[in-house]
Amino acid sequence: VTDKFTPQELDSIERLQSLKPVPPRSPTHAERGKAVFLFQARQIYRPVSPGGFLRLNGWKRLLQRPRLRRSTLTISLLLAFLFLTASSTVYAAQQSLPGDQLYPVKLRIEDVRIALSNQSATALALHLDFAQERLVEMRLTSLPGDNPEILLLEENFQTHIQVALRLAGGDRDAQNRIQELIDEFDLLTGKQESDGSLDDLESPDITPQDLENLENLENQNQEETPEDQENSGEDSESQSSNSSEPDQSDKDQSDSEDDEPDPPEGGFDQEEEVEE
Amino acid sequence: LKTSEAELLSEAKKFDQSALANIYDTYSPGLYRYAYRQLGSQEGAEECVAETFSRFLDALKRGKGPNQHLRAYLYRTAHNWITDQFRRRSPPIEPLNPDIHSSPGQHPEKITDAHMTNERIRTQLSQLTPDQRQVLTLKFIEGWSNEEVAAAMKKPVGAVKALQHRGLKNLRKRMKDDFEDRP
Repeated sequence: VTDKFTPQELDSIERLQSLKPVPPRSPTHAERGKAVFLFQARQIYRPVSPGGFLRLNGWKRLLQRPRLRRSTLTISLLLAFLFLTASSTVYAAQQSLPGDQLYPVKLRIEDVRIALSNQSATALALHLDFAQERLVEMRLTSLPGDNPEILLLEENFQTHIQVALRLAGGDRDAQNRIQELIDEFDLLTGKQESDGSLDDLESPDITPQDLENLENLENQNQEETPEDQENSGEDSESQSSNSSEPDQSDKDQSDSEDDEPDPPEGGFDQEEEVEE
Repeated sequence: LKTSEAELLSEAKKFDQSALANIYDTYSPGLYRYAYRQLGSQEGAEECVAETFSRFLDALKRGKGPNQHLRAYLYRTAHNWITDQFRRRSPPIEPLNPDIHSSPGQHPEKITDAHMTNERIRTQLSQLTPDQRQVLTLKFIEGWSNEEVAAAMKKPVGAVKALQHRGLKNLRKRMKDDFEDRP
């Protein structure tokens, strides 16, 4: 104590300091007190947490406030309504055709799907699928071929094909499919130009049975031609060893029929004899 | 302390048993003496120590507790507990220890007189205001500096000096009245 004190204050301080001596603490009591203290600490501290949901006390208190609970319910219902509306719109757009109100939505969804594809193979598959979808739409739509919607559809198809060609590279399968799509597109657009409608793509004059018969005939001709050649070869071999001679003889015959006849020796004489 | 007070408190807030045991071993003897000097009872002093550390654990459990000045925090907690005891009842007078009579070189009558005198001083001390009693106890019995007392009481040093002056004056008056009444 370095402060300055009056004698009376010093007397009081001296009396206070008579309280300094303290009997030694019982070691047993000290150890027991320490054990109790550490036991209490272990009881308070739980190393295993009570689980994720039970830890969210702050959120639970916040959500349990009456005013916020009403707001949360309203927001949840609103979000659910928006989600259902958006889902049904997307679903309906998938079924739309050119000229429908939701058709632009369908095209926009396709653009988004392509934009979200992070691999060229995925993008290629999407472009091919969407080009195929345009062909399906061309078959199903009732709009005339010169309708602006149809022109936009064709333009969209060509865009997908161009991008797909660029992405395909050396992929033969993709190239074959692109070719098939282009062929089908040419077929559909050609039919549209002829009569302006896709309702009667099939020709009324030529039935599928006729086409089949024609194919069979062509096949038979292709099969018979080698046999004929073999037979004619055998004949030529009996007359001459040179296989080119029959052609030459045919050519000579045709020449003799077309051109002015060169009078062979004794030829006219025989005719004159017959006339006589 | 093997580690700094800040590190010890940081570990204690994680309820590290080693850190808590270290804190108990470091501060419980002083807290026991502090409580005994005011209560004059070994049982009361043990109870004060146990309650002080229990409140310390409760504070840690609530995410509170001191970030520094751990000793000041523990002594402040002990002081509050002792003040509550003084408000509820008069401090019990400890019965004479039978071992005192067998202490060599000390006359039993003098020992008894000293014991009675100390009890009268404790009673006079307990009649001061809590702040005055805390200042006088920490400074003149525990031997703390003005700055340490100020940190424990969360008051400026000037306020501590003023409390010390008024406390000594008040205690002097009570001592004078008491010793004059009972010479």
